[in-house]
Amino acid sequence: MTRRRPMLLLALGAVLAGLLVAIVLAVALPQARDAVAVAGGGGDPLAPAATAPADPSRPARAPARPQPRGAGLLRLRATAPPRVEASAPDSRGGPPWVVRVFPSQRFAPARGGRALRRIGKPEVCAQLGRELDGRFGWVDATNTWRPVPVSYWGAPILCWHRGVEPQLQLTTPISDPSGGGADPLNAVVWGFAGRAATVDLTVDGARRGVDPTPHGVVLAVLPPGGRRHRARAELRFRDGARATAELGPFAEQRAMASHGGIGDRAHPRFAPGTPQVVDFRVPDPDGGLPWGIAVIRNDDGSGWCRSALGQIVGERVGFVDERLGTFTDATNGVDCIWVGEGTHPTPDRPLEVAYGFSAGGSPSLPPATQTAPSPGRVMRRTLPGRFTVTGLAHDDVVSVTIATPRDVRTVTPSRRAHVFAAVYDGDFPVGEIAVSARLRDGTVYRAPPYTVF
Amino acid sequence: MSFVDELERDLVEAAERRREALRTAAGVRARRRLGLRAPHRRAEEEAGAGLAARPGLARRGMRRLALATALFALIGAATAGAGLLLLRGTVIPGPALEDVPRDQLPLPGTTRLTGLTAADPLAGRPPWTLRLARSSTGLLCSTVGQLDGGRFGLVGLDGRFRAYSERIVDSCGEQQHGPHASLIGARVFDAEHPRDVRTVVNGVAGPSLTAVTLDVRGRARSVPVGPGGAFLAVLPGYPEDSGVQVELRFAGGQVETHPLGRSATVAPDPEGGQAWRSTAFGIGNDRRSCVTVSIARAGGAGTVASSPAACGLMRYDGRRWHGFYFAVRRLSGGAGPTSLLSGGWRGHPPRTAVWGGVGDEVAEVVVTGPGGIRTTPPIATSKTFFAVFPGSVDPDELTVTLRFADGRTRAFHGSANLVTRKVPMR
Repeated sequence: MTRRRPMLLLALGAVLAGLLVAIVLAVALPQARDAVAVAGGGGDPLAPAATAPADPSRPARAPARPQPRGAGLLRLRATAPPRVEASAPDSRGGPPWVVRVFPSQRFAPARGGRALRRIGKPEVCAQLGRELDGRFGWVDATNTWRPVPVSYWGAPILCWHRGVEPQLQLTTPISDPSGGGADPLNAVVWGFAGRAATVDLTVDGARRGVDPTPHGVVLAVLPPGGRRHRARAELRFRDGARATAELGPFAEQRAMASHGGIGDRAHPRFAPGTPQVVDFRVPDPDGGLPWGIAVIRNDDGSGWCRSALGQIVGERVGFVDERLGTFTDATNGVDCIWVGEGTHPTPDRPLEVAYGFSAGGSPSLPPATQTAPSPGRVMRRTLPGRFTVTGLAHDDVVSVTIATPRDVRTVTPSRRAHVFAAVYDGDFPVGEIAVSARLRDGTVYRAPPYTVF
Repeated sequence: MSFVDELERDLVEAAERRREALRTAAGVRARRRLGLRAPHRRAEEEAGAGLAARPGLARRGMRRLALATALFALIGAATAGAGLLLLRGTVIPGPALEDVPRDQLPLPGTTRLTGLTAADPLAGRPPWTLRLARSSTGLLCSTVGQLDGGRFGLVGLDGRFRAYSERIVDSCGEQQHGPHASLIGARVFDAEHPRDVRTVVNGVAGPSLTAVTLDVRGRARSVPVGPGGAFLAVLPGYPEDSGVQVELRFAGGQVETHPLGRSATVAPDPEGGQAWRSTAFGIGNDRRSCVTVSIARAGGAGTVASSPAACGLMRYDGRRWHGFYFAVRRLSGGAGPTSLLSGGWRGHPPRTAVWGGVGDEVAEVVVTGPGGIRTTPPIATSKTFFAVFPGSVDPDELTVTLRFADGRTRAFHGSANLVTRKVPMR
């Protein structure tokens, strides 16, 4: 009698059933749902890994990045050993935040490239970092800690001449953006408070008093802001004087609002009070962080103030430093603070259009030293950098068509603030860009064409 | 005894029990049909009591059965995943729905391949094609991609083919109903080396489109027209490298021209390499105007071949610019730039170039030389001009002739009016 092998039958049955399922899925699943398969890996080494969030308390360690060298790149030297002047625990349990301070001198390569020549006067620099095992470094968005030598590269840095105005900065570290989305992790306010005796920070209504160090250094690590994302520092000086620094989104507009605007062309309605919303969204050509324009409504409900086009992190719009893994809120558009020629559309000129190009990558790094292309670029064979077309349309505009040497796109301006945008990979070294608007009455308005170079 | 052996033994026993139970059930059914009683109910009851008296054995059996089920599911899932991968390949995911403006979002089920294909310039690479769709707002959408075994996607920089998500489109635009292109453009697919870059000229111009002609490096090339006036052509390099221009002819005789790779400040390379461009600039407290010639498509600041700056003094009388200056040189060498004005050829093959600036009174610049060289470089709005020749051309044998608006002409050999030192404004 032949002995039966149920294990073999089980395996064969499973393989058969699996194959049947694969065939059914391949036929039945629409292509649009393939993102799920890719997110799961699908055997593609470039697919974003579906890994659990990294433990901030145990960052991976890596050696320091090589320092960029090249003609025209300034170099920084500490003229005395750096000292950590301020530290604060990380709210997520990661290595503590520190600010190190050092007197410095800038140098530039002399003619011929070998020797260095001194540039400008000595300065004092403050550099934000993360301390691990007593060493100064930086933790990027992938939760990797690297030591950072004294230089302009590798960690956020501020250098100033003593006696000038306070310099405070809001640095927002973000989660890993490689999966096409990211969120702010902290709100870190730091910098020089100048002669201020105390600094009161307010982030989305939460107040925190900070005492500057004897050398005027400030450091405060706060949870990321809420929907208003408002960060403000009030500095009080020993002589009783006070000053306010707006640090969050729409900072310029808020600062202008507190001063009543600029001259007789000041925007009559700026008094932002409502939370900001992302009013127009555009995908990134590489599948990276999406792009958008944020708007806030003026207090009297009469109009909107828009931000510049930037990448979306959480519910905020701004610029991402891919190498550092930090986010900076976009500045607001000139139409927020200024009323004049070319800032607001009119029935006769229903489009205001702006063009821009960014090399991408990391503002903290010279373009010539950028690293390998992202997985998204490898998959899509896109060009480095981003060319952007943004604009504001009159209420009568129903659609905007943007014709570039690359393609023709038609978009509907946003419902709230009538903004629109298009993002292209690469640049346009040749050709012309024509933007036109179709109005409610069917007529077409053509904006003056943009000629490259 | 290993776990697998135990599991196998249990499965064998379970199968035997099941066969026995089936035999018994069949007997019971047969006896019921015949109106007989079960002969060994007592024996069954005893067996049941026996199992009840051995609860550990029952639990172990259940556990092994559960493990067998899990094993089945695991093997099945792995086979399904591998099969799906083989059948569909990996996929370039589409953007998140909430990030796409409705105008640029194709409606599911509306995508269709045009059937047009264009061979890649390199044999063995998948052909290129065009996919069309309708957006949620009724716009016409197109996507350029490659065909691999009937699948629409793209071979990435890593040489791997991935299918495109249905949500991926290059652009969506209003469909024109007259003799106009609804969609037209030169889609660029980057590569590590410029020779592997591809420009795919494509468009949709409606049923009245009768002919499409590409002007590539001065040569006309006819492109097939597909249904609905769709067309597609593949060129090596960036659009400016071939200076591509598209001419569309419609049934009514209308002609539409799209200079997708041309500009007054960009010119194709005379030896088929990357295109060149001129850049005009001034420097702080310096009265000089300067021009450089460099590779048109920068790969990063200071990473491409660049000429030294040709600088000269121009005079403005309140209405017009006067004067001229230009350099005539063979450009070669391996060094990078040491200053803003020095340039750096970075090992690029040698080229001979003429570059500079002219005032408003100069109507035309003509460069002539040995072997029938005669070119009239365009004068850009920045009042600069340039021409690039093979490195074999001797710069001393080139003649630069300026024709002035008043009809005068002046001919030069070699550079003219260059100012190499800074001229402070005050």
